[in-house]
Amino acid sequence: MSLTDEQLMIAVGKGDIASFEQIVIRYQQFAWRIAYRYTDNRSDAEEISQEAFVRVLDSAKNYRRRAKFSTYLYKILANLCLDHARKRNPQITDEFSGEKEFTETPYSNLQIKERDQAVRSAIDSLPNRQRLAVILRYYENLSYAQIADAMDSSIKAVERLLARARHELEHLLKDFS
Amino acid sequence: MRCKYVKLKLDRYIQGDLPDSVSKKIERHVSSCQGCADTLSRIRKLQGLFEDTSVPGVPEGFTERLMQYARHRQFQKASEPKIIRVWEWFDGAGLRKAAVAAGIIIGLSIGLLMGLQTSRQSYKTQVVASSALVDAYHFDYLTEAPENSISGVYIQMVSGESNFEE
Ligand SMILES: [Zn+2]
Repeated sequence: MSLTDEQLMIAVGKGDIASFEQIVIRYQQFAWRIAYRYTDNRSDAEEISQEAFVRVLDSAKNYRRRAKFSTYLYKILANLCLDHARKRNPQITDEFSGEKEFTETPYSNLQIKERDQAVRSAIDSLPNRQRLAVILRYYENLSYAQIADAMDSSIKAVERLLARARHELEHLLKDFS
Repeated sequence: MRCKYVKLKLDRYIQGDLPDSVSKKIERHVSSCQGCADTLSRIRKLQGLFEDTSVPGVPEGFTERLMQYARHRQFQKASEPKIIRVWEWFDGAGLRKAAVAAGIIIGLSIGLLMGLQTSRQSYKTQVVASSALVDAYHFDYLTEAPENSISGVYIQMVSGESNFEE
């Protein structure tokens, strides 16, 4: 029987490093994905996701069982993403797209590649909070309440934030929709 | 329902994030309002563009690097204020536990020596006697010690729960 995230966190709070490793294994993919989508850059994404786990470790003592662990991690990640100063310029964006493997789709790989790149650069051009909200909503499928919680905001504010983001994205991606 | 309100809720409607009653009202509104119906289909189209799942996997060695750092950090935390920690430990309850632990070590050592001289049976009696000592001298708070801690091991030995005889 495996322990719940919350049980593991209590153990981490007592200094159990093996439980911390379990948490890392469970959530590294998730943390990395959000950070990578947000920064569109591998080294920045690694920096953010590693730092998120270090904060989990450092604050484990104060972790309360009431809080769902994923909610707790969203919040840490959201803060780190928003704090992250984007030093990146277009010349050094991650070139990973060249190595992508595509699954069978009705479109040709080239069309998909073009489309995905357009979507990525459109998301990149959004203001920080809009960008983060879009990633949490459309890639991670978080509810509005979860997004509001992670971003220290209200559901109504997230509704407006995402409405503005969609408006902007529709404009930027009009050739693809 | 006003269009402005409906338009703000449409994305949550798609996500199934609204209470049934609100969802039904939105459905009714959209079926009779072309403007909101258009917005709904635009949101759906836009959502179709986000199906890119090609995020690279977690970099190789991610967990190892993180764990190495975490262990280093734990080690630093544990060893940094060495002197203070030793004094903290010998302070109050710590000192009491240390004295009790020392007492038990001496007691057990004598017990073991006696056990060697006499039979295994008499050794077992000695263990039971130590157990009685725990009750008599209120050493029982040591049982709160974490598993595998030194005090925990003493308690296990004293209470005869340990399988060190096997
Ligand atoms: Zn309407």
